[in-house]
Amino acid sequence: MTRRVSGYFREHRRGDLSPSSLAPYLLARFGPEPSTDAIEMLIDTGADWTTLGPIDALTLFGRSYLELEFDNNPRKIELSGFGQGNTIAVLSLSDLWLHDTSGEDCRISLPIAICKPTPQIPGAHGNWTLPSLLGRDALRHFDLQLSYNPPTVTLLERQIS
Amino acid sequence: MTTKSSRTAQTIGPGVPRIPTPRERRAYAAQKRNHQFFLDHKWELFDRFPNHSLLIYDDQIVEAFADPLDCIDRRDALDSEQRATVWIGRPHRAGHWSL
Repeated sequence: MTRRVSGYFREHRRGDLSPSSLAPYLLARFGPEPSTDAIEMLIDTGADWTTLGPIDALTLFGRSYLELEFDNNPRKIELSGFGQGNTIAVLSLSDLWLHDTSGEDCRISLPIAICKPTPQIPGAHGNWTLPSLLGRDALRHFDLQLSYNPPTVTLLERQIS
Repeated sequence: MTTKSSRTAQTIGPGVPRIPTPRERRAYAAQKRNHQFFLDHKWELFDRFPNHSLLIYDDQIVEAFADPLDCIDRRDALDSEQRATVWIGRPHRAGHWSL
């Protein structure tokens, strides 16, 4: 028995379906139950941490995200590679839910990095334009099957019966 | 937002597999339909409403918001049935290729 979680590709330039414009995404939900809004996560094998970008953190947490203390938070970490230079983030233990092809929800408990918004005001600027990342801490639970010809992406988990 | 301590170890056993309820299945189907609508129409919508957040709910009602906070507030004002169908579409993300 193998669990499968299917992703999809999004193009970032209109009508450009070349590999340089296509990026693999999965939908994930966060929280104690898989009932929150689904978040598009860019599959990033170069990311140490699964990371919520500001626009998705705003979607999940609402206005309370803008009041979160980052600079003096004991769970503060510095990320490199999320936007330009280093980015401050706060680690928060969370349940991440993936919906598999049989209709079941697969839960992974892990600390996720919630990025500090830069600038503070929401908009099409700064790191507000960056996608959330599904990092190696989540991917290591699965076999990652990725192809650009044709574009397909699947997480596989062989279950012991 | 959960802020449980990650320094406290817990011993846990295997849980019961989680199968979505019929209501959750309907919500998944509706949200997936609205997500697909977003994927199919995003460029045309962003041409007309550049840099707007798109709130797509029910049977593909689409509202555009210049301020993402207004979009979140509008979503939170929907009733629970409508909210379960929501897909929030963002302007395409430029710039992350330079990571």
